[in-house]
Amino acid sequence: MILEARNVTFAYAAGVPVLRRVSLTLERGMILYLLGRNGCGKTTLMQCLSGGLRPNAGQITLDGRDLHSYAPAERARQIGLIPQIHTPAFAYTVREIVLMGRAPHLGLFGSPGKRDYLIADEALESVGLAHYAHRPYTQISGGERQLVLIARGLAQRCQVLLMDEPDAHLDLHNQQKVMEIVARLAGQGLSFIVSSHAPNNALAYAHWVLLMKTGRVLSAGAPADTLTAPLLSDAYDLEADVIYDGADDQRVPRAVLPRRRTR
Amino acid sequence: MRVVTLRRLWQGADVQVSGRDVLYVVLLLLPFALIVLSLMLGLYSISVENVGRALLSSIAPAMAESVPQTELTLVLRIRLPRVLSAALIGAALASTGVAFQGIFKNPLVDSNLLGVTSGAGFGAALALLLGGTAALVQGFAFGFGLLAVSLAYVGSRLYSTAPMIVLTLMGILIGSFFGSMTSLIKYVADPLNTLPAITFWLLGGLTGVTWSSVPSLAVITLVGGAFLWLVRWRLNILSLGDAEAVTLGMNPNRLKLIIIVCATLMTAAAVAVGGVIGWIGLVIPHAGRILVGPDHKRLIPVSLALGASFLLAIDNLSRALLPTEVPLGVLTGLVGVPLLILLLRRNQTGW
Amino acid sequence: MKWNYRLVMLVLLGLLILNGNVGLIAAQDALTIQADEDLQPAVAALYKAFFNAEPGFVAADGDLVATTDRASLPDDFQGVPPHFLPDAFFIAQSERASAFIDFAVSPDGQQALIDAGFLPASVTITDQAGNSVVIPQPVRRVITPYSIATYLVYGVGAADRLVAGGYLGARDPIGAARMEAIDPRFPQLSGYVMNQREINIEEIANLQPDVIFTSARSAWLDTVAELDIPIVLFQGESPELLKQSMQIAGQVFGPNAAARAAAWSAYYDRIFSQVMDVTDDLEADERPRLLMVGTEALRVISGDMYQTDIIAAAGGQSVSADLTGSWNDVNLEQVVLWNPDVIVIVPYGSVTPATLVDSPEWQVVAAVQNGRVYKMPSWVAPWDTPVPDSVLGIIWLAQTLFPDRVSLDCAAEAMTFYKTFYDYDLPSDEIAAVCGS
Repeated sequence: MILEARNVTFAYAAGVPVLRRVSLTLERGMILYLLGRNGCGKTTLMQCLSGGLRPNAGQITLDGRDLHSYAPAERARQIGLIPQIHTPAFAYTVREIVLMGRAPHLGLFGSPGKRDYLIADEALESVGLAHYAHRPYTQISGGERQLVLIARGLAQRCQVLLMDEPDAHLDLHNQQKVMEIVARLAGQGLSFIVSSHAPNNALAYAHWVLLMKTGRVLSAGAPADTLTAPLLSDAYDLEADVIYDGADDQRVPRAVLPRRRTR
Repeated sequence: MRVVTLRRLWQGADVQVSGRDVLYVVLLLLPFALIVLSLMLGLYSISVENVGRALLSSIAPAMAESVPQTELTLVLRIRLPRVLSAALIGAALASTGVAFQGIFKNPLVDSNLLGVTSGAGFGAALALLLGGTAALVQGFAFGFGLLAVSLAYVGSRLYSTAPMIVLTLMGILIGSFFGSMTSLIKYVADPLNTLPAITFWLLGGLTGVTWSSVPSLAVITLVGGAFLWLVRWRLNILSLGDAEAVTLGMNPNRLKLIIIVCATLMTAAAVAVGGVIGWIGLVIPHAGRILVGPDHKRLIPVSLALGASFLLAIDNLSRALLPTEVPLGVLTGLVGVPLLILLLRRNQTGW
Repeated sequence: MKWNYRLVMLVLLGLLILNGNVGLIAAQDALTIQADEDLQPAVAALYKAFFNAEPGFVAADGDLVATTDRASLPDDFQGVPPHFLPDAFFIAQSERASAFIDFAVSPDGQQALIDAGFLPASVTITDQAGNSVVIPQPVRRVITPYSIATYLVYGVGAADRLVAGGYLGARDPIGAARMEAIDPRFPQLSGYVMNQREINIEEIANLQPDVIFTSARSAWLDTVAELDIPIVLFQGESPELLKQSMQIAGQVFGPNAAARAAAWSAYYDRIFSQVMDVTDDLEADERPRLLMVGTEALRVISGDMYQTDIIAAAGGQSVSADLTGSWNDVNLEQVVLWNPDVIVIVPYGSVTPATLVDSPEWQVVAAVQNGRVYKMPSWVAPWDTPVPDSVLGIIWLAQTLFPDRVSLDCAAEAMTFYKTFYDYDLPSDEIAAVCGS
């Protein structure tokens, strides 16, 4: 276990709690999916886990140490956050974006040196974008940007990467490309927490799923155990079918299909 | 443009230097060449040899023996402080423009965003109305420049949410307030006496610069410029927004505050000496991005150099072309706009 | 009780008579007038308007003389005799005549003469922008947003008709105190924001001026034109144009003002020619090269400005005569290139000779090396600008450039000037210093 949340409760100033007693455990090499409706608390949980927000109650520990006892740079060397695809104000090159991942390893007055460039180029190579190094980040496709941001997370050299809806705005091909790389990196020992609106991707790639509803954990467990028709219907307030594959004794869930209400 | 990656360069093999690297070095050396050239230029013609002798005489007094006193005075007391001031002011305005554009994630702002120039303009106008000396005008300009930004900052602290947006809004409000106050002063100023002085100051100019204005300007610009140089790479990260800066292990608000203080001091010092010289803080950052790209690691050094060079060149036009001084604020626009349009043709990537 | 009541009524009645009904006083204070025969109808009209009675004309020893004959002025007469008609003026022979004379040259007096057909009901003048302007007579209220024009009004003796105006050289406490001594109404007249750039049109409408004096460069001319008030534009950037300015101002305010404008022109011409007698024959190399600087040490006059002309008249040559427009900002390198023999700083602004003399940068300029850096004096209106007072600037400049050759007494002329054209006696303890020490 490297990252653990115990009974995390969080509320924005004087409001209703957005997170209520959320617990999770992330192991090395694990891909953990956060699923649930918009506003169920996924983003807030990610921010708590990345150190951006401090829970009102409960505890988050990293390698057994309270997350908030880490200095910002020290924490950032362990946990990285891969934001949703964005367009920065300035047309940095892909390599310049990836290099920013080196920030927690450099002093305030430092700027990347030889080693950092090597790490950045390596990271780009491992997401298959080495030839894109000098392209402006603002001019590549959404899928490529997502990969660049993953490369930045790699250059950050942390143990845990939090991904905020990596499948948003991506076509099926690019979703698969991104998730294949995530799966490969997890195989190399990196841990991921992925917030997502794609249960099918969770079925395909997740080791563990946290199904959330209105700030609570509705269900947590292996994808086959949590992504069942009754739980999904509850979590998303709809009727859903789960399509299984394989023989009866080895049934593997392959897809979640919401039912059409009127026809 | 890019001939070889830096990685190959370090590995020592195949040492080729890209056009961009050459350009970078040339840009950094440009102001030093221009300073030397500017010292040779002026309405009063002084031979290159005598300019050289005059300059060297500060180290080796014997060099001055064959140089007429008039030429010594002109080179050492008139041209040198003015040329240095132009370089410092240009560097300050351009680099603070880059810093503000970076931290406010907006390529269309400059260091006047928080009202420093408007405050300084009001301070100068007030000092001129009171019949103040050059020193008083400078002091008032500097003081009111800082006051304006402080008011904007204090005003923004009254709201706990979205501090940067509120700070920007406060800056704009305080800026317009001081702008109106300046108009009010112009309204009541003696048309024969004070009004032309205020108008000329507001358009910017280095006509009256002597050594007395250089030390404070130099110290503030060099210290501030050095700080911006040191944190320049962090500006890349700040320009992505607070959330990402936090996940990359930074305290963005603290660093931004230090940069704002630093840029405000630099701008106020520059405006106090040179008046309101528009354009540089907006145009030079863009020119720099077109030439070396948006990476602040190179953009800050280049904007320092390019700002210095641009204002040196403009000031040379102002002081050596016609018997009458043309306000710098007029020339920066007249020369800057065509120059930027020319550079824009090279820009293929957007900002 | 009854007795007191009657007394009070009597006193009230007396006050009423004293204050309100001039005609009743006239019976006691009737003047004897000795008038040229052809002037008698006009004088009678004035007399009737003032005393509500017919005048008693006498052949000699009247309280008052009305004449066109300048020879009848006393030998020691100074100033301009009060003109009630063009070329016709009064000479007071006793104190009792003064109220009547004041009336005769006032708007009310003008009105009486207009009603009787001796003066026109309106005048048509061509202003200095070439516009033909019709101005109904008499002008009782004038505003002068263009400060230079304010002094034209003082110069022609019509300051009592000013209702608001801009002032030069009266911003500092000394200038303000001097201006208030000349005209007690100064604080009130100068209490408006009006200049060539800014004016409040509602305030203008409220002031109800009969005429507006300003410069052609005023930014608000089109707006104010909507008020349908005659606007006279001035532009006095040469001696000839300044004399024309005064002449136009004189025409606007009637015969007395016109006579004073003519008197000022004559005085200006006399001083000018006295100075030119000395300077006219100077060769170019005898004429000191002079730099006149303004409110900043590096703000200099252009060749288009009046200052260049008075420098030339005083025997100097302006080194910045090739510049055009208004004030020009130059750099010290240009000053060194000109290398003027003399530097004159205008009376206004914070620049002093010490500013230049103490500056290490200016040491290479000949004028600073020779110690020939001067601040031009002034009383109120600056002597370098195209105002009536600039005649004293010419005297001072000529004496500064040629102290041995110019015999005019600047202080005495200043005394004469302010007495004649501002009706003001310079304080005796300041006369010596009025032209600088």
